[in-house]
Amino acid sequence: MAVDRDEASALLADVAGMEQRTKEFLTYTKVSQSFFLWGAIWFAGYAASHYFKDQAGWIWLGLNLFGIVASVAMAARVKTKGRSFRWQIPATVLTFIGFGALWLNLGHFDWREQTAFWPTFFSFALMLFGMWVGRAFMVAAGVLTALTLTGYWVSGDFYDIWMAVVGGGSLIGIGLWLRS
Amino acid sequence: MAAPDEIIHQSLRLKIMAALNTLDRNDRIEFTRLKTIAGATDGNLGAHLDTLAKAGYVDIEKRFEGKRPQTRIQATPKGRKAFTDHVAYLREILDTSQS
Repeated sequence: MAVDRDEASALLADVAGMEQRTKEFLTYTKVSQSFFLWGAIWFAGYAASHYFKDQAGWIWLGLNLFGIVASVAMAARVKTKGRSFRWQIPATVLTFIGFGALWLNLGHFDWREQTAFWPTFFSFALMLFGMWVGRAFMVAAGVLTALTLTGYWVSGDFYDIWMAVVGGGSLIGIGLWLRS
Repeated sequence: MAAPDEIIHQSLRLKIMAALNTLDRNDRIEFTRLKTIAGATDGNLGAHLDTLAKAGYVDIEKRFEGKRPQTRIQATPKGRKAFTDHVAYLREILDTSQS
């Protein structure tokens, strides 16, 4: 079997392309679980914000803590499957959350602005993540930002319901799309 | 110089092995997902997987997930070594022709 330089080069390019696509597929599959989780949390949290306004802060606190614990548990499961745990991932997430919380506090946002801030801030992080990891995340970030801003400007008193159904539903839908 | 592997050298089989080699050693991938990643048809992928399985390079598991039949594929240690050796052979061709 004689293989010349051009053929070898083309085959190695095929191999590199397949490795890249497989890594993207594995990332999409794993991250889709987080989209399901946070989609459900958004749905519950925003629905609570609409129907139980006085307790909404505490409900969001509980839901976010649950989400963080569940996310850490999912990341730990990856660790037990043989990959080493990378501290940079939770550190990056915490840095983003810290930065967001700082400016939320300094900016004195009202409830409506706060509930628009976090989804768009999350989308901003997702957009950056997508630039390095896979274009599907950039599409997801664009969709989430557009839906959040549409709700912010046009949904009136039903903004929280909009975010529960459209925002939470979109996260779950994006999770299903990534999985497919 | 490393020796070429006639079985893996075929373009789609090389792609299949590249995808399977990227997975963790104990992980498997579903047939439908591998088909999407490799851009292959059902028949084409099935035929090449059979060839790889006969060579002992992949392990094909057929099972039921609920009532749905599911085929999942994994590279064997022998398959991973054959793939690594063949890629080394291809790289050597490039290195040799450059020097």
